[in-house]
Amino acid sequence: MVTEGKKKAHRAQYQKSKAQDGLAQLPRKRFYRQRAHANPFSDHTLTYPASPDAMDWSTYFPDYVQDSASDDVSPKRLTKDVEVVDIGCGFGGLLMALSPLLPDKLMLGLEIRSQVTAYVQEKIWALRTQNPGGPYQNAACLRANTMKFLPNFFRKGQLSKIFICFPDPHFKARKHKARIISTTLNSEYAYALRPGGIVYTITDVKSLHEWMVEHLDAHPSFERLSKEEEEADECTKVMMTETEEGKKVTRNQGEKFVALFRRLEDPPW
Amino acid sequence: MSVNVQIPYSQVHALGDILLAARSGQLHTYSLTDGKLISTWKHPDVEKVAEAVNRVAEEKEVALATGAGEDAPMADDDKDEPPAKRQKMLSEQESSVSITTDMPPADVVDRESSSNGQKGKGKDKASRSRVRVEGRAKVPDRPLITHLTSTADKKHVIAVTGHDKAVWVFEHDGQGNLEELSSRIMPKRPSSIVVGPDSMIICADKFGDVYSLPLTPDPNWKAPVVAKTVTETPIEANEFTVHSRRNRRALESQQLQAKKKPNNEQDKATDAPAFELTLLLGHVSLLTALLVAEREGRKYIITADRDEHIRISRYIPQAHIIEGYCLGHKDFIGDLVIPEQRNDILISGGGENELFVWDWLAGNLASTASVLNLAQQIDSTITKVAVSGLHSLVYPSESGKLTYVLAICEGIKAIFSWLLTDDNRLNHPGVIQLPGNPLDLEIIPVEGGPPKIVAAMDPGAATPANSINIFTLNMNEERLSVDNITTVEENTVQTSDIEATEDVVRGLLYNVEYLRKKGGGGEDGEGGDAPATEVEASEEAQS
Ligand SMILES: C[S@@+](CC[C@H](N)C(=O)[O-])C[C@H]1O[C@@H](n2cnc3c(N)ncnc32)[C@H](O)[C@@H]1O
Repeated sequence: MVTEGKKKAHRAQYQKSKAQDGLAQLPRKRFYRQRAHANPFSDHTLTYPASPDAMDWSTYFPDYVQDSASDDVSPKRLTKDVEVVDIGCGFGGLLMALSPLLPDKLMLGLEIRSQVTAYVQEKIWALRTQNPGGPYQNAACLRANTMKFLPNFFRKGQLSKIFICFPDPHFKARKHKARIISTTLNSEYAYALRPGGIVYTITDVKSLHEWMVEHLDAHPSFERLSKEEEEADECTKVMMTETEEGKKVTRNQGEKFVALFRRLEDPPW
Repeated sequence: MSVNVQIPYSQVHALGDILLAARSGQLHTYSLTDGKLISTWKHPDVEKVAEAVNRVAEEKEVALATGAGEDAPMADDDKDEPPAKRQKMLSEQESSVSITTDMPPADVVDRESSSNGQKGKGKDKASRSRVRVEGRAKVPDRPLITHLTSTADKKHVIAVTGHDKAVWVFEHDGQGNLEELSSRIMPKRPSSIVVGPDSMIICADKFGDVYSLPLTPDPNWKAPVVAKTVTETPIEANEFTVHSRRNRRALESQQLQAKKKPNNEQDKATDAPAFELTLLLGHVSLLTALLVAEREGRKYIITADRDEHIRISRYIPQAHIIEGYCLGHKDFIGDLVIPEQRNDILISGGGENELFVWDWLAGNLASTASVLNLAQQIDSTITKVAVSGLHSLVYPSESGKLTYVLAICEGIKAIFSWLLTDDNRLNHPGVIQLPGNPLDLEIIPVEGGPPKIVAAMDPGAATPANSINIFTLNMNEERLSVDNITTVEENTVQTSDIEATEDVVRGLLYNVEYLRKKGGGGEDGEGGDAPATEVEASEEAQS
């Protein structure tokens, strides 16, 4: 058992070693583990921008900060916007795999657990340092409760892809509002996604898969992709093999259920 | 010790010359021409409370006579938790035996996270309250009418009672007489209600959801027979379809639950209302305000929440489409208003020092105006405000019809007013001092003259003031002031069921400041000070 105290000490140690020269070490997962569930309804001490315009992305994507003239603009602007989001990214396996695959897109993992977020941030930092001029500049992670604060980060139609991989199942009926896919939350995903954008879902829990399909199907802003389209999408495979949960399910020879949904144009009114 | 006071009027609504005024579970109608009482409707629970109050009073006398403890469990005297919470806990406790703690609905979370000194696991807390509730559940929860509104044609009145989550519809004969037509129990406690232009009732709740329900329930309506939906499946997975340890634990807990039948029954009971109810949209936050607005021939639903969001959605039947947000608040939103004559403008206020003025369809902030500065004119020691109500009125002047915005704040004895200018600023701030804390306002238009303001107030125990005050207005250099104050004959109805201790009154009627986040709840999993609402630590991270 790694105690909290030990974890804290190791994380501090890791922070310190970062400051020194030498080869960047990857952070070790076991010092960033955290209780599995965070209540999406409670008031965490979260920091979030009051609105997308107030968000300072410059520390997350330093290579993409607009230079010149913009020194007096606060917050600093990027040359492009985040467009790919991994909701509940956990330890960030998907991000690390997508980063080289979609080199011209900015992607962001959103995770409610602070230590898990810290791990992903450290890992991205280490990978960036180990691969100067290489990939990973386009990937970042921040702590957020996406069920409450997605519109604080992204403007209408800003995103082209939203990944929801192996979300917490919340089995009990009375906890269904805690699920990350629901009729009402789907409206927020539709808001952040541009028409043509894709929601990717995957789970090993069959009934949760059915739930997600049922609720996205029922939402007039979404349309399910066919099996062929699903397979033709290069991200589908990555999602199946590169997420931490996906790997676990493979080890246990479990089944994975995938569903992709396209954001439709809003009807005229 | 605790002195009994009259529960003040807390909701006022006008239908032409008729004033509807609600105090506790009673709804009165008054004539605005002579101030006379016309009719009274009482929530069925009113009698129950009256009986229980009398009984407790008797018991207390006995207790005192026999020298029993001074703080004997006074049934309805709750120091730090409004009845809202106690009642909630009663239903919440049922399924608390499981690996994960039951997630309380948003309103309960809010109470918990803001009631100080209550650290620890949610589960413990639930069981703690249970004991307390059972130890003193002598008086049923006090009925409280929390909302009053009417249809555009003024023929129907809609009231909400908070303690039982009921939406009541009455027919109004135009003379102040109400006939009760229906009552419907909502899934969660309503926090705001409006009647849409199509006479559809739209109701926002403390769990974050917005529903529509027809004004008149269809007696032939039958709950649709739900074909096998995921919700109905008692066990949603089995050992062969769950692979991660965390999911397996959750599943085990669910299987355990399924064996204890009654809990599952309860789950469903809350999910299936026996009348037509359509879920329109939802936030994952307590909703505090709801408006239906129209612009350029299109209708919208505007919702505001405790987490600083103002959302603009299309109206029915496309309420699932979010058109935009007005973002910029940094504390909870308490109320919204679209001023008379200016449907392009939205004013919002809440836990912040300023009111925000929005071009709401574009989502742009046009200006702000300080409420705190005005509050400090009344009392220089005030350091924060909680805006509880926003209203607007039109004042006919030589230079045309001027639009004013009014604000009241919890616990501040005043009405604040501003002139809304053509360039979307709030100018000429004015302060109307009151003899008590304002709880609700209603504007009464007057043919050819300035409108009147009806204020429902809590006079407090010390002042003998009336709970309802009607103000005639004046304007000096575009600043609003009061000309004359009248009232209604409110003392014609004095019954024991509207008597309560000051603490009870506070618990019932002062709930806005509660919305403020306390902060400093600690990061989850960072040692000692885990937030109370975090879920069970035993479910430590997966391997
Ligand atoms: C089972 S894990 C899956 C992690 C990762 N997507 C994978 O496939 O390996 C679900 C993650 O969602 C996170 N999560 C749950 N609710 C969230 C919320 N409201 N906002 C952000 N993250 C959330 C949890 O903390 C957890 O790390």
